[in-house]
Amino acid sequence: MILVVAGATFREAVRSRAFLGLLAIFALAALATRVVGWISATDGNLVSLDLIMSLQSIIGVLVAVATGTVLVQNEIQQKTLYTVLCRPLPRWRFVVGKFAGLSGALVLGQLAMAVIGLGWMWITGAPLNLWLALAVAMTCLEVLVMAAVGLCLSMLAGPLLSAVLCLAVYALGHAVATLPELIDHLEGWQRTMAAAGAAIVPNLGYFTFRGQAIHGHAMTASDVLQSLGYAALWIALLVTIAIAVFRRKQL
Amino acid sequence: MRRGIALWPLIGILACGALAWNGSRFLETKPKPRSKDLSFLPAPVVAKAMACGQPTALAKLRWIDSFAYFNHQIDRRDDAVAGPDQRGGFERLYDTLIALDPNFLPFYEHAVLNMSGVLKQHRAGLSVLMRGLLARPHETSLWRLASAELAISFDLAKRDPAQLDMWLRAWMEAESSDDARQSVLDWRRGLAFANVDGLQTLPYWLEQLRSTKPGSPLAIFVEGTIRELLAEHGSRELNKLLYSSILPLVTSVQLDPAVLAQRWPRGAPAWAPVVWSGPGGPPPVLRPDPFGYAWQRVGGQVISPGREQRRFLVISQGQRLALEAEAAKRGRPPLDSDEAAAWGIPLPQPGHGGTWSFAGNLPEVDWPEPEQQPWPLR
Repeated sequence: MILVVAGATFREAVRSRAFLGLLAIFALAALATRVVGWISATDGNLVSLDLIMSLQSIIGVLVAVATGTVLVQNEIQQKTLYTVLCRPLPRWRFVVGKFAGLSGALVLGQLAMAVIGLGWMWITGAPLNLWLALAVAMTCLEVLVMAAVGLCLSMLAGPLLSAVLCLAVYALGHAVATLPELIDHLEGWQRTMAAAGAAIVPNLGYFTFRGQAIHGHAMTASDVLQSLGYAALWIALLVTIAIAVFRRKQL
Repeated sequence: MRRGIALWPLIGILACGALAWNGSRFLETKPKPRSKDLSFLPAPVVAKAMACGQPTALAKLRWIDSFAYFNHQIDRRDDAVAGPDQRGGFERLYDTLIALDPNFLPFYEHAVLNMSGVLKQHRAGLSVLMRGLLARPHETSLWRLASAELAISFDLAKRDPAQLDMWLRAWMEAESSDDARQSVLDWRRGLAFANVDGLQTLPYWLEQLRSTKPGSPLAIFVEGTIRELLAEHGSRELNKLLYSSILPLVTSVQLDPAVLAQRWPRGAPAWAPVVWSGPGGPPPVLRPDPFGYAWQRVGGQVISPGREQRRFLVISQGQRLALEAEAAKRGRPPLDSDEAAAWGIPLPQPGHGGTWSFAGNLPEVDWPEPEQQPWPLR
C-alpha cells in the first residue's frame, strides 16, 4: 500500500507545475552560467561549474519546499485524503508513502538537473570528474532532508508559513555548519544558547561537497558514510514527527 | 457577441519597445570600464555563515564583481575602504574570498597581482601566496609567483642567494614530474634578467602575465607595465647607440652592424629594440617601440611615444581625479578642456597626437593608433 501511495505521489509531483517550472528555470540558468564564466577573467569552466552545482542545490531545495509543504495539505483541501483513509490504511503508511513518492520525484529532478547542467558543461568543453557525481548524490541527500523538514513543518503549520520556516531552516542549517568558527566570539549563556539553537536544526554542511568536487578533490568513504547516516537520522526523525502529528490530527 | 480589440499586436509592440529600451544600453560601441568601490566586505567567518551553503559560488561572484574595484584602483592606488579594519581593501577582499574557496587558483593569482603588482604591498602579496601553497602545495603557478616575489620584490636573488636556492629546492621537491623539476631550473636561469639594466622586474611581470586571461583588465594592465619596462630599456639602449655613433632613427634605414656588434657581439637579445642575429646575419632592423609606435628623438634623446602616453596619464592623474570628483558633484562631465579650466582644473595638453575625451566623469585621452603591431608578449 505504501508503494501505491508513493507511486501516485511520484506521478503527481513530476507532473506539477512547480516541479517542471523550476526545472525549466534551472535549464535556462545553467545555460546562462557560461556567460558568467566568460566574464570571469579565467577559462570560465570552474566558475560555470560551481554556479551550476549551486543552482542545482538551491533549485532542488525550492522544489522540495514547494512540493513538500503542500503534500498532505493539498490532499486535505481537495478532500482526496478521505477516499484514501477510508480504506484499511494506517496513517503512518500514508505519510511514509507520500514522503517516498516525493523523494523519488526529487531524486529524479536532481538527476535531470545533473544531466542538463553537467551535460551542458561537457558539451561546451569543460573537463568533468567523477567526484561531481558524488557531489550530486550529496545534494540529493540535502534535498531529501529539506523535503522531510517541509513535510514535518506542513503538519504543524499552514503551507505558506511552513514554506517560509523551511527556507529559514535551510539558511540556518548551513549557518550552523560554520558555528564552531563563530562561537568563539560568544561567551556564557549566549554561547550555550547558540549551541542549543544549532542542535535543533539539521547541519546541512554535511552535504556540501560541491566546492571540493569541482576541483577534483576526493571525499573519504568515512565522510560519505557519515553524511548518509546523518541524513538517514534526520529524515527518520522528521518523518516520525510528521506521522505522530498526523495520527492525532482531526480530519 | 462583440469581440474586443485584438491584444496580441499591442503585446508585440509593447514587447518590442521593452526589448529595444533594454538593448539600447548595450549599443555603445566603446566599452566603458566599470569602476566602483568595495561596498560590502564581511569578515570571512561571517561571509561563510551568510553563504547558505554556496560559499564557493558566492566567492566567485563576489570576485567577478570586484574587478570594478581593480579598475577603481588603477586610477587611485589608495586601496582605502570604509571600516575600522586597518588593512587595505584588496587584502580584506581576498582574505574573505580565499576563506570561502581556498582551492580556486585565480584568487591567489589575482590577489598577488593586485596587492603586490599594482599597489606594491609585497608582504601582503607574499602572505597570500603562502596561504595558497598551504592549500595547493603542488601548484606550479603558485610556486612560480612566490619565487618571483621573493627573488625580485624582496630582492632575495641578491640579498640572500643561499635562501633563494633553498626555496627553489623546496619547489623542486613539490613538483611531481621531471619536466616540472626542469622548469624550476629554467626559471632560475630566467633570473638572468635581473642583471639587465632596467629589466630587473621583467621576470616578475612575465609570471604575472602567465596567470592572466588575454584581454582581461588585469592582462591589459600587466601587458602595459611590461611594454613600459621594455620601452624604458629600449630607449636607454638606443640612447647608448646614439652616443656611440650616429644612429638614424628611421625604421626603414639600415642600421650599422659595426656599431651594433660593439653592443651585442652575438646578436641583439629578444627584448632589444633592434632585430639582429649578429655579424654575418641579415641586416639589422630597428623595431617600433613595444607599443607599436616609431621611436622618436626629442631634444637629442630617444623616446618611446607609447611610454610617454602612459607617463602622461600618471602625470595628469591628480587633475583627472579632481575633475571626476567635480563632475560627480555637478552631475555631468565637462564639455571640453576649456570648461574643465573654467571649473578651476586646467588639464595639460597630451602631446603625441592625443586628445582629451570627456565621455565619462573621468577624462581619458584618445591616442592615435600605433603604426605597427605592438610587440607580442605571449
